[in-house]
Amino acid sequence: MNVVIVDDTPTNLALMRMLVQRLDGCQPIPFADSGSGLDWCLENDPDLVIVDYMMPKLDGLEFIRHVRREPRHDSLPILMVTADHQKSVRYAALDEGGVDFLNKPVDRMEFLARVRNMLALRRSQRALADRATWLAEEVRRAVAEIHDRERETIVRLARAAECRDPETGTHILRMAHYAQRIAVQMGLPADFAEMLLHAAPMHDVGKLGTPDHILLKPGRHSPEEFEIMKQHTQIGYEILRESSSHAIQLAASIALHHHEKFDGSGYPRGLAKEAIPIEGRIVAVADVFDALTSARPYKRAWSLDEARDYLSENRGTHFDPACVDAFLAVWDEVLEIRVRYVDEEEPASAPEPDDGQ
Amino acid sequence: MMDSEPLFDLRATLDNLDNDVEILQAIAATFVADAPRLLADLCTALADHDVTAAIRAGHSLKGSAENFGAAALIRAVKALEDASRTEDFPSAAAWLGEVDRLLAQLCAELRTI
Repeated sequence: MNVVIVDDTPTNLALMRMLVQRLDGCQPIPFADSGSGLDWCLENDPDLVIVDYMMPKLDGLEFIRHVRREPRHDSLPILMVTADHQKSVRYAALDEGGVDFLNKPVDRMEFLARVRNMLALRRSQRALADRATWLAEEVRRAVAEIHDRERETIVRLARAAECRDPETGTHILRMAHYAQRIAVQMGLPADFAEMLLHAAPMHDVGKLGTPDHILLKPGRHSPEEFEIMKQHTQIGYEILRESSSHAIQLAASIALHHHEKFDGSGYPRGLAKEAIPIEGRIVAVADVFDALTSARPYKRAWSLDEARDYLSENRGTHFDPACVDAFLAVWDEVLEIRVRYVDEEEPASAPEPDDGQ
Repeated sequence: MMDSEPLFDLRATLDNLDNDVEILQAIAATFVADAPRLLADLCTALADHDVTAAIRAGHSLKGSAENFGAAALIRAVKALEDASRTEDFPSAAAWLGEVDRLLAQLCAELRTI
């Protein structure tokens, strides 16, 4: 351990240097000039500082004040050497952040005992700091791992839903990105928009519970079939609800609300306006727009202009006007997303909602 | 002065060092090497009638001599300091002669350790 000794009197400096040298694992770093000693302390990492009080230029009190100004040294042990009777000096040293005192002339027994105590204190400080650093790193890693697993769960759920759904993986990616852009444009918090990106792909997870002959039926559903089809919102909600993950909680709400309409004519509950959670209103725009502009076994892909017109015409009836306005305001980004996630001939492989954004 | 009084306390000094002769020799050599500077600082301060400098130089010399229990020398330095404080520079100069004499003797003895 590094023990800095600052004393302008050569004999005292030599004595303390040799006493410190006698201690196991201790390296004395002596300075006859207090200014040089201070410079060293500010540039290095001492374990203990022993400083004389009465010195020319920078005295012991000023020395301690300067050392304590360095944030790294706020708990560095400092011993000040004073004559026994200098009580006012001792009080001042305590005020400046000195830790303990050594009497002059140096008494070997007292000197060694105090230096050992101070170094034991220093070792404990270091061990504690190392442990705190280690713990912080462990916590960071554990949290990162939980986040990764959470995302993986979401990705796997979305994949499972995809297996049952004729819609492609790129649809899921496009609508999730549209939803995120709408949220950002509406001035919602960035972390909410980010969570929307991860949660939106699960909006149709409830289709896992829809019978094949209805889900995969080409052409229009009968009213009875449509009633069963509508249940995918409730089923999705049941699958995802009460998760401890915020992203999955959000996904549950999206699954339940993404077929609600702003005028109250949607399903499953016929909610209207602000009674529909914002994530439901946003995803409704993103999902419908992408469905319209994609080809399906039972319909051709609409042109961009047709889909745009549809959103505008249904602004305030099907859709929240604020969400439509936000979507149209980021039109250039919508076009970029369409280019980035193009449908392939084969149904896309697993959707990866986390595309590294 | 009582020249029968020992110049320094070898027994107490060694006790304090746990009979570590190596340290004793090292600090004795350091003191001897530093003594001319300590004395010169005192001389300069008194020649300049600089009370602050005289007390500072006296403090350094006492602080060094205390390590050897050099009681007579320390008393002489204190007397010099007291005379300086009252700006009695003739007395201080007289004490300086005593300090010079005792310091030379002490150094001579410390050299033999």
